Amino acid sequence: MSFLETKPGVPLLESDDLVRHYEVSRGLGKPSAMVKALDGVSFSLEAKKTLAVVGESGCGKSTLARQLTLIEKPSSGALKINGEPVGNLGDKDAKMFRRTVQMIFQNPYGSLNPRKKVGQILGEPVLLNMDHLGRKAREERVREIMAKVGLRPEFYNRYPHMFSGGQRQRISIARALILEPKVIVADEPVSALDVSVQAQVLNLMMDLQEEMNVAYVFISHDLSVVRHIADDVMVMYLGRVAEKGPTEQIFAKPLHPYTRALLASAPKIDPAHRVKAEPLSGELPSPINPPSGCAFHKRCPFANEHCAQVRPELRNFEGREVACHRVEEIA
Amino acid sequence: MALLEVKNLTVEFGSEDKPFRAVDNVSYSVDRGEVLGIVGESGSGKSVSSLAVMGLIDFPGRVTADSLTFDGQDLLTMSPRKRRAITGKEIGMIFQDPMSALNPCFTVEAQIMEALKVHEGGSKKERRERTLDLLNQVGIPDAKSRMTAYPHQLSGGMSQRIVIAMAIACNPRLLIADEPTTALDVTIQAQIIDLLLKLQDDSDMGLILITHDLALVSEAADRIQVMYAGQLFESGPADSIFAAPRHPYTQALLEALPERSAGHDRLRTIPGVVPGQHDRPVGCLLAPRCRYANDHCIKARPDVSDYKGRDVRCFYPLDDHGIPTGQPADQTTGGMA
Amino acid sequence: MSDNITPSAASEGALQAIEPMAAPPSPMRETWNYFKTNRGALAGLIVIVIILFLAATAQWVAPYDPIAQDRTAFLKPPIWMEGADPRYFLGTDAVGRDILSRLIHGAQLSVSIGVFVVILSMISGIVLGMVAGYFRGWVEVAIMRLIDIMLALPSLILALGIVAILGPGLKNAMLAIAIVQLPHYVRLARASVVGELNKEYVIASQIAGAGHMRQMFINILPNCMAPLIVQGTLGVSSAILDAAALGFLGLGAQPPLPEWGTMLAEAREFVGSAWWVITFPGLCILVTVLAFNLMGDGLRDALDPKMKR
Repeated sequence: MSFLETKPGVPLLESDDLVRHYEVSRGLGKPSAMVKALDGVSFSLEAKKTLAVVGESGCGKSTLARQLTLIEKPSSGALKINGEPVGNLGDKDAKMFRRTVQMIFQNPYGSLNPRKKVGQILGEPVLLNMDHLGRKAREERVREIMAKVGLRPEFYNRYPHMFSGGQRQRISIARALILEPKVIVADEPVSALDVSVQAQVLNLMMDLQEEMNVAYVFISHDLSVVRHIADDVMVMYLGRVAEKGPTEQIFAKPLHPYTRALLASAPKIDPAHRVKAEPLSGELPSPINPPSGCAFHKRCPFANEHCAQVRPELRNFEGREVACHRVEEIA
Repeated sequence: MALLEVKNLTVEFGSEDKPFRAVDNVSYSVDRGEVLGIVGESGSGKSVSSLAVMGLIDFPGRVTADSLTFDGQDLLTMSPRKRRAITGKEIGMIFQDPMSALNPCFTVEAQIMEALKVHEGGSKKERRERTLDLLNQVGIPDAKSRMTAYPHQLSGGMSQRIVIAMAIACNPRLLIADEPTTALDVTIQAQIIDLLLKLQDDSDMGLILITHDLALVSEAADRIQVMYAGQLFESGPADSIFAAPRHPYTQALLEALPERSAGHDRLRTIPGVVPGQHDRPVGCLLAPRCRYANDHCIKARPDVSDYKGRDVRCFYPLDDHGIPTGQPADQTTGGMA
Repeated sequence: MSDNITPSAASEGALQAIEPMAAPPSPMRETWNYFKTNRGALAGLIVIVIILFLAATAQWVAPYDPIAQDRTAFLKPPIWMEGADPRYFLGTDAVGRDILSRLIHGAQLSVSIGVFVVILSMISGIVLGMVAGYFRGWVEVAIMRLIDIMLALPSLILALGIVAILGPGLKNAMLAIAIVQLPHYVRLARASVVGELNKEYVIASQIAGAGHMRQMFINILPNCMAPLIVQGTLGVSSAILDAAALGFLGLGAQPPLPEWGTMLAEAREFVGSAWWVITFPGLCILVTVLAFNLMGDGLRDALDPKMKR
C-alpha cells in the first residue's frame, strides 16, 4: 500500500496531460467523428487543498471528473496518486485507489438510489471495501459519519425521497467520506440548492476538509462560490486549460480573455463589484468541429490572425499559467 | 395607472378544509417600462403567482384575489375566452427550460408563425417576414437559415432566444420571464438578460423577472420583491433593498451569499429549510429560522406594513444598521451559527 | 490507516442546522392511496381476492368432486330454470358432472397457470433484459434480435408450434405460453435498465466499488420493478386466456381436468341445446381476465410517477 502514503515533495494527486476522446458516429456511411472532450489537462493537487475547475457546459469538466474517479480510462496521459501512476496498478491496488478518490454529485435527487434506505446507501461502500467489518461495526461506522455531516440518527431507516435537497446532499457527502478518501471530486455540489442551504453545505464541506484532511476537486460554474472555497482555480474552455493559478490572483487580475469574460458575465449584488463590459458574443463552438488555432478566437475581442492559426500552449506568466498568445499585451 | 395590478392574490391547493397555500395574499403592480424582480427560494410561490396571473392554474388549484387588473380591465370578471385573448396577446411568458417550451416536431418558423396566426392574422408572406424580423430582433445570427431548423438542432441559448421571439411576437405590453437563464451558462445568461432588457426598453414593456438569483435581479430590476413560503416578505427599489434590507430574511439571504462574505472562513447560514406543506409554523413563517424571533413572532403572524417607504412583513423591521426596531429587550430566542 | 471516525466540532453546528420535518408517506402507502381512488382497479382487486380464495379452498368449498359423474343427471339446467335438479346449482354437463364444482376447481388450475407462467417468463425475461441493457454491445444485439424474431410470429401460432414439438398437455402448454410471453418482459426490463443506467446513483455505487452483479440485481433492479409488476399482472390474464385457447384446441389441459378452456371445448356441441354448459366457463374467463386487466391498469397509474399530479 505504498501509494497510499504521502511522500514529501510529491503532490497527492497529479494529472499529466490527460486526454479523453470519444468516437461519435454520424450516421450510415459517414466516418465517425472524434470529440476531444478532454485534450491534454495537467494539474497537481496537494492534501487539504481545493482546486476549482471552472467553465461552461461542454468544457470537459464532467469528463475530467469521470477520469479522476476511474469510471473511464483516459485515452492517453497519466493519473498519479502520491507519485504512483494509476495505470500500473493491479486489480487489488486499483480497488484501493478507488477508495482514495470519491465523488459528490450535482443532482441531489438522482444521486441517491430511491429504493434504498439511508443506512443501506451509506453502508454499501463499507460493505464493498472493508470486508473485515461485521454488520454491527458497519452500522456503527455509518452512524458515526451521519453524525458528522449533521444527519440525525433516526434518519438511518428513511428513504431518500423523505429529505430536502440540502439533506440529500449531506447524505451524498457522507457517502463520499465514509471510506476516508484523500480526494473528493465534487461536481457542482451546490448548484441545485437554494442560497440558504448552499451556505450550509459549503460550510460543512470546509469543516470536513479541515477535519479529515481531504483535498477537493471542486467543479463549478458559480464564480462567487469558487472564490470562497478554492485555493487554486483552473479555467477550462473546450477541453483545454485556458488559465490556471491561485484563486486570489485570478480574481484580482484575470489574464485570459475568457476568464475576464466569465468574471464580467457573473452578476454581482454589490454595485461596487460590477464590471462594466459587453457580454461575450457567440456560443461555445461544437467540440466535434472545433475552430482552428485558439478555440476561443471567434469570441475573443483581442483575437488576431495569429490566434486563428496557431493553438496557444499553456505557459507561465506572472506566477500562473495562461494559454493565450497575446497575454503580454492584454496584461 | 399601473399596467398589471394584483391585490391579495391567493392560490390554494389540496382539500377545502385543509388547504395548502402556495401563494398567500400577495399584492404587486408593474408599470409600463418597469422591471419588477421577484426573488425567492424554491417553494416560495414566485412561479405559481405568475401562473395564476396568466390563468394557468388548473383545476385542483383555487385562485382568489381582491382584484386583478391588466391595463384597467378586470381579468377576474371577464369571460375565460376574452381573458385568454388578452393574456395570449398582451402578456408574453418565458419559461425556465427553453427545450421543453418548444415543440420538437415543428420548425422554428412554423412555431412562431403559428403564434402570429392566432393573435395577429395576416397573410402567410407577411407572417414569414415578421418571423424573420423577430429572429433578427432577438439576435439570432444567420436568421434566414435558422428558420427551418428544428429545436433539437439549436443550443440552449439559441432556443431561449427563439422562445423570447415567440413571446414578443404579438408585441406584448408585459413580459413574464420565469427563471429565463437558470438552465444556461454564465456568458449566455448575460447575453439573454441583456437582450430582455433591451427589448423591454425599446418597446416600453413591463417585465417581471422571476428568479432565485439575488445578484441577477439586483442588476436587472428596478423594483424587487422578496418572497418566502408563499408570502411577500419585503419589496422596494432595487438599489436600496439589498443595500439596507429591512426584513431579517432578506438580510440573512444576503449574508449567506459567498460574495458577501469575502475574507470570512465560514458563511453565515440560515438554519433549517423552507417550511413545506405539512409543517407550516403558526406564527411568522420565518420564526423557526429567524435569529431575531421572540415569543410574539412564534405566536402571531405579522402583516405587511410600510416601513421607511418599503413594504415589510415583520413585527420588528430592521433599521439602517441591520438591527431590529421596536423589539422589547432580552427576548430573542433564536440563535444562529 | 485508521478506521475510526471521531465525532467532531463540525457536527455540532451541523446538527443544529437540521430542522425536524414531517415525513411524507412511504412509497408503498402512497401507491396504495392512489390505487384505492381508482374504483375499477379496486373492483378488480376484490374479484381477484375472491378467485384466489376459491382456488385455495376448492377442495372444501366445491360441493362435489369435479370429475365425479352422476348418471341420473345429464345436462341439468341451473336451478332457476324449469327441470332443474336442486342439487346442482349451475346445472350439470353432458356426463353429469357438477358445473359449479368444476368451475371452482378450474379457478385453481387457471390461477396456478397464470401465476406459474408469469413467474417463469418474468424471471427469465428480467435476467435476459437486464443483461442486454446493462452490458450493451453485441450481447444486447444478440438477445434483442432473437426477441424481435419471436415477436414477429403471432403468439398463438408460436405457442401451437412449441406445444406441437413438446407434445400436448398442461405442463407443456404452460411452458409454451411462458416462452411466448417472454419478449415483453425482456423488452421492458431492457428499456428500464437503459434508463436507470445513466442515473448518478449507479455511478456512485460504481465508484464505491460495486461489481456487475450487485449493480444489476441489487441497485438497479428494484428501480425497474414498477413497469414489470404491471406487465406481470396483465400477463396473468393473457396467460389464462392463452391457456384456455390451447385447451379449447385440445392442446392444453386434457379431459377430464376441469380447465375452463377445456370445458368450453367439451361443450362445443351443446351451444344450441344447453347454453349453461358453455356460458359459465366463458363468463369465468371473462371476469377473471377483466379483473386482472383492471387491476393492472390501476397499478400502472399508481406506480407511474408521470401519471401522478
